Amino acid sequence: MNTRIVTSIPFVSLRPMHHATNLSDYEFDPLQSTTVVLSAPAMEWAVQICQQVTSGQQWATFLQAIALRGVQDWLESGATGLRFTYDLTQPPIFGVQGEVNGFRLCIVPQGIVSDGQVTIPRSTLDDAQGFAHLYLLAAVQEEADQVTILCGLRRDRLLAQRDTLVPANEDTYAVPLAYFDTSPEEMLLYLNCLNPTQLETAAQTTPSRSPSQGVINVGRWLSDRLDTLADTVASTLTWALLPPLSVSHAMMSGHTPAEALETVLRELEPAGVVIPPMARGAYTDLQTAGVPLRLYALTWTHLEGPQPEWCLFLVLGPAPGEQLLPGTRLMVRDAATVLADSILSPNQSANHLYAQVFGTWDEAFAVSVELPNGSTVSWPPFVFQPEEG
Amino acid sequence: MDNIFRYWQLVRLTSAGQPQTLEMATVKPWIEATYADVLFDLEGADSKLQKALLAAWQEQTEGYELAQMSLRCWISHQIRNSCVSLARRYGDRHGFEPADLFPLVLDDDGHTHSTYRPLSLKILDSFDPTKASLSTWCGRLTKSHPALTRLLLEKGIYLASDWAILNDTNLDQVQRILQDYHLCSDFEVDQAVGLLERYQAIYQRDRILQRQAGQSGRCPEPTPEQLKQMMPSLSPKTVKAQLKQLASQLRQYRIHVRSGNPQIYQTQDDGELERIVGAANATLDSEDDAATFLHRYREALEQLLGQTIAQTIAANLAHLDSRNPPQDQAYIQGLHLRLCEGVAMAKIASRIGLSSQVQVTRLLNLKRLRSDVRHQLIPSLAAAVRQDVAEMVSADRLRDLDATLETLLTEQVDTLMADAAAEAQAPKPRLVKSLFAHRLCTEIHAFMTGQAP
Repeated sequence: MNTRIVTSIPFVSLRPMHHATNLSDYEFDPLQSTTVVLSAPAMEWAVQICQQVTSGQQWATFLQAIALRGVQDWLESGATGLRFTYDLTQPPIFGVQGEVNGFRLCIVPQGIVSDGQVTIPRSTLDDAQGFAHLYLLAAVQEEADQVTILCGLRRDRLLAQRDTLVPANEDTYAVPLAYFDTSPEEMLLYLNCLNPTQLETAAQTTPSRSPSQGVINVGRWLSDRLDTLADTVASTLTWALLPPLSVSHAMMSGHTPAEALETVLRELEPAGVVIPPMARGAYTDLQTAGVPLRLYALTWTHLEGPQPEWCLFLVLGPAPGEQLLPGTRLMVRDAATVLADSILSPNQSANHLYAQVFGTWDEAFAVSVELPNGSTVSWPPFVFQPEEG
Repeated sequence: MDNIFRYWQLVRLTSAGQPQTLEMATVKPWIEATYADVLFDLEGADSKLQKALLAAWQEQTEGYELAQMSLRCWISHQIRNSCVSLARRYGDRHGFEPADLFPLVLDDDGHTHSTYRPLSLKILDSFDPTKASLSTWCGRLTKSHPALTRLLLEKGIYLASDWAILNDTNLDQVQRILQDYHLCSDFEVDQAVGLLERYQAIYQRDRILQRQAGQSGRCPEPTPEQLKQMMPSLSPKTVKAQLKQLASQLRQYRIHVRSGNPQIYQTQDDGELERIVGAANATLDSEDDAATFLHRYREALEQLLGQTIAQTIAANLAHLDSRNPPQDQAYIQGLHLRLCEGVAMAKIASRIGLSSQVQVTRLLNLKRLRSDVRHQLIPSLAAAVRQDVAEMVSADRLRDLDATLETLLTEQVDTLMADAAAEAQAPKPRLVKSLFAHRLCTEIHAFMTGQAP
């Protein structure tokens, strides 16, 4: 029984934690252009209204209420007369809280910590009468009475990704943060100028979009660019750029994914594997697809030969805490042949497989993994198309 | 060893609040004599020396008071450097200097007081070498010092406290973060989840009660009573330490996520008006469509732009007039200085009664001004050429229209003709303006001279 899985699970940035207890630039939160400081009456309303629910729900409702007032302030602070309509007498629910110009809005509060996933109530997607047209992610900083509008998600785009949604429990979906690709400014555009019905059915995939649809463009990694949903059609492939891997592995304690990769690379150094300092990469975990594997991908350019080339360096390892099973096989092909083919044999003690291929900038590589039970996991082709300028 | 003087030179403040360095006369010869061998090491001398000094102080061996003073000296340099680096990063935009921060944290005068414990001693008292280096610990306690965070927040920079972090993280998130990112064992994860649950039940409840009583601001440290309620079987000190450890793990993870999603979390710098909106590139479906759109709309745009800008400014002025205190005058002055006279943001603040560049940016809110104008133009442009935009246009098409409109507004205006006459009388450098800025200035002048409706 050979099942083929074409994975669309997102890759995650491999930003290593250097100096784990240092405060870094991303720790402080300076005021953003979409940060709203709530008035005292608004905060008082939030404190009062959340007491109408049971104690177990109060904090969540409190944050929801703060987010709601913050979004309202932001929407109504412009010159186009937007008005957010909702029921002031009821504690805000986790779901559709109100409407603007006929758009039903679901405001999702984000606490100080986000884990790259956004939980949304299923009813906001599935309820035929009360679905949400737009989702708005708003960071709430309760200590500072502040709300920052971060990003949004259109219903039509979410519907187009429907089959990738993972139920978090019976009432909610877990949506990857990367799906929220609509900027606050774009939200204002829709609220001001669009007819809500335009968002009610799944987005059409327009053929005239970027030619690199349905591929993993690692060239973008080198220029610090992310693939967004707008560029890859109906795809969940999102790559965040990594900073260079540290040359000295001494500080690593093997805890984060980046550190785990560094451990592997250290083991490969005696075999002559050299990763240049300008290499960039990401990793993807396949556990949510029921496969206990993790794939790391690194890329860099190679300009020494007659033609500029790019390198794709792959490390296949087990999910954290697991062992790589004998019979696991990593293969890389180009258009014509198999370029790399390594399989873990039963008497090998290694816990990873690796492959390294070079190609000219117009070449693409297909990566697949065979599991001991015969199933295959494969990815859309890896290509190298760096941006101009 | 470089900078060895830090171990006997104390940075403290004069009575006028100025930083000065004071050489501790007895410490210097003692260090040079006692630790001569360490001083000549090239690598790792700092950590070796610090380790030795800490041991001397903690074990109260001979010269322990000098060891303590030496560490206090070194720490005072760290504290000063933290202030300087914060000011370098945020000071220009948010309107503060290192001198504003020093009095809050550089409070060691080199004497030993019976009741007052300066920050340097608090750092030493709480330092755990198994958790971090001394320099890291200094940085952390300095930057999260309550008075400092209060000042930073006033200036528009927020730093979340450990307790706020623990409040906002739900149990599923903690589980995922500890398992997948920190690779904790199942046992560790269960412990942490249980602890967080107990913490939230008590602390969140009390926080809402405090809020009701009118208390707001930075989350206070949990009291021994609260800690006891959370975990009766452990000492409050232990519970607090475990909570802080969990907060630290979450804090690290938070940095990881934010740095991996800069498009969502990065600071928006909208100080410059003349910039194409990045997200929507003007990729229209075909060349024909682009030409058609531009042709049909360009003339209408000429007529409508002025009045749309005027409406937008009027609406903003009304909004700002109702603030307490009113900010409408500051707004129009600020717009004029920025867009008509090209004055830099940083210089505008004091001229309109504000104290930092960030305040000016937020008041003028140029990005919103521009998008509000565009969003009002799109429907009225369509009406002018008898198309109902709302019915026919999809969301993606709307984005393209918005982007093309932005392109039109950004086109440089040929101001040669208009300015020639003016220049003949009073030559000054001609500002190259976009169509948008050019028309905006005209409208602003109208508001300032009272000609606007």
